Amino acid sequence: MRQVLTIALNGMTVASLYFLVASGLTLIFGMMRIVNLAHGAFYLLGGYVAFSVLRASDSWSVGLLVAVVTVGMLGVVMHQVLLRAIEHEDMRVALVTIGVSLILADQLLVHYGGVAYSVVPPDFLRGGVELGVADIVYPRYRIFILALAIVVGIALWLFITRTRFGMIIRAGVDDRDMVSATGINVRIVFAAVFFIGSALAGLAGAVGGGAFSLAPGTDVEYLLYSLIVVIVGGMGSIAGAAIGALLVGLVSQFALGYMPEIASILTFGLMIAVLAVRPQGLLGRAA
Amino acid sequence: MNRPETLTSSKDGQKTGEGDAAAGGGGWNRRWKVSWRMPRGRAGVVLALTIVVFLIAFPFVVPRPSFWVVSIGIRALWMGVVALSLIWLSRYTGMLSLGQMAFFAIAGYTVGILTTRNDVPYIISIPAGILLATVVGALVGMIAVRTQGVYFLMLTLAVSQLVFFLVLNASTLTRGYQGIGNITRPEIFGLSLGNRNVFYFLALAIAGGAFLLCRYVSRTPFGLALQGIRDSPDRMRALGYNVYLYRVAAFTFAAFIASVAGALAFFYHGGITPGAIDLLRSIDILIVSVLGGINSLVGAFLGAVGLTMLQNFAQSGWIPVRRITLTGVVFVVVLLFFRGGMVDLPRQLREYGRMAKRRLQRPTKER
Repeated sequence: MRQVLTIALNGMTVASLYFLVASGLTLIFGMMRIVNLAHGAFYLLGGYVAFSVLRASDSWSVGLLVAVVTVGMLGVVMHQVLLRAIEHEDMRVALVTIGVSLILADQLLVHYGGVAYSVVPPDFLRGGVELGVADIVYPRYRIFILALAIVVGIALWLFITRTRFGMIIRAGVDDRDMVSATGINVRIVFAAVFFIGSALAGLAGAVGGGAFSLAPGTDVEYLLYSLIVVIVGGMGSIAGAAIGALLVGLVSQFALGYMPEIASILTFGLMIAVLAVRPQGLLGRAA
Repeated sequence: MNRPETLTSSKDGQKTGEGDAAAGGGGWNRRWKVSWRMPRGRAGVVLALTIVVFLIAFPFVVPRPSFWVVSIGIRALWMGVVALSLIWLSRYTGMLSLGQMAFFAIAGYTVGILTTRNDVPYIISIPAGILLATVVGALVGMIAVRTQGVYFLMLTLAVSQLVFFLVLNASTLTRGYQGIGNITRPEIFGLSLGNRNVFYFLALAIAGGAFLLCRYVSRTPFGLALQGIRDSPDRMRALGYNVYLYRVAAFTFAAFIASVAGALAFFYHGGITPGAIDLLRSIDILIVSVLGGINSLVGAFLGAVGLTMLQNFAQSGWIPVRRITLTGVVFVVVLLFFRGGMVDLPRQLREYGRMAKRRLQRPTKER
């Protein structure tokens, strides 16, 4: 019982992290039909920036903030410089982001080397919490990640469905020309979307760097998991990303607990099973 | 029933209806017109003969054969065959796959496991490896071809990673990170494959065979139907074609070509390790294809030569930039400015020249 509960909690916290990464990916795709395959490298960059700033300034929250802003800005720059001219060709855009991911990951390897780093959480997030169920003492930091993911998820949902800006974004997706004809600068709106989506990867890296280590290869791992999450949940759907992340997180953690040899295969098996039944993902709109 | 010759042979779908182009999802290669054509008639024969003579003379005329023949020549040949499978699939079906290394890996590992662990002779283990990889290709295809465009790209990427993790986890069979090595190279007609030149000619023959097979298949009624499906799946469906089965068959064929390359590379490396099939290798194959020219079967080999030379020179300090960074930069530049790749380079340079001239003549007016 205790073991099952702990694994379930682990699954949920891992799912929270997957959701934070994948929500940025799915947001950008949903709004602009751009698959940013550099998203995993953005995650790693966010973690490294948070680590460096934390070491220099001795402040965890400053590190987090700088990471979020840096990665968000990088996303905007990448979009403006490399992607805007070919925005309508989704394949080429995806391939360019693969190139960006290669360059970024290689340069990070130059600067940070092959050692694993960790973004040490502040005092108030360290230690354990007694849950009062089955004598489980669970790390406070992981509960923080869970809470953060829930807050971010709800905020994103409210932002897109309930604010004027979100309305403009949704309208811009459906009919870009019409929206700009009403006097709205669609370019700025889309740049903002790219900023938010990339910043989410930076946030996830900064936060995830406290629970798991940052090393070369982390970028591929998170890119892969966020791809699986959005494929399972349905590209472009925030709610789909949440469900997908929860499924992937729980399946991967239970598999690691009980069948470690085939853990990664079960995760992929989940994706293939979903795709075999619903090619567009659980909550995706038909392509 | 009258087969729709006019539909399928309408020069690679340059005149597709707008609705079809939007529906395809994988419409990216239709906008990339290939200008390069093999010259016809006598010029074509002369050119083809020159290339063949050069390729045969290659190991005997180059200096430092251990570098040029092994590190560039043979490596470019097997990488070219993997890229060939990617380009063939992309060009004739519009599906861009990042999963070709999965079949490459399955073939390589099957040969390795059967021969080094179970003492199966190569004459059985090599066909068995290729067969298994092709069958897996058919199974993957049955799911993958249900998706299109970037979804297909992501799904095949995930499949190649699945195989990578499978290999790492099933360490009792695959020896995990260590990989399978220490193989004895087989002999063919009394000639040892340990010999550099023998291996080169074998690789050349296989690459040439794969190239001709791909070209042949694309001209059969099957290949023509595939191009029809690429341009307008709905029309082909209305004509009575089973679009799904055709796509699965095409995917399986591409998996077969990739697995042949896998068996070849197994002997090139003298074994196989997870490092030889990781994500970077999959991306390498993609880069080879885009660099050479995603719309031309010849581009596979041009791109493979280009990438192996680039990476070798960057590694040996000729170019003072890190190998992967340089590869990434070249890849992005090709994608942004030379979308037709090396095959199409002369035409693209001419076009840029013309554009620059126009700019100079009318400096005040933008475009």
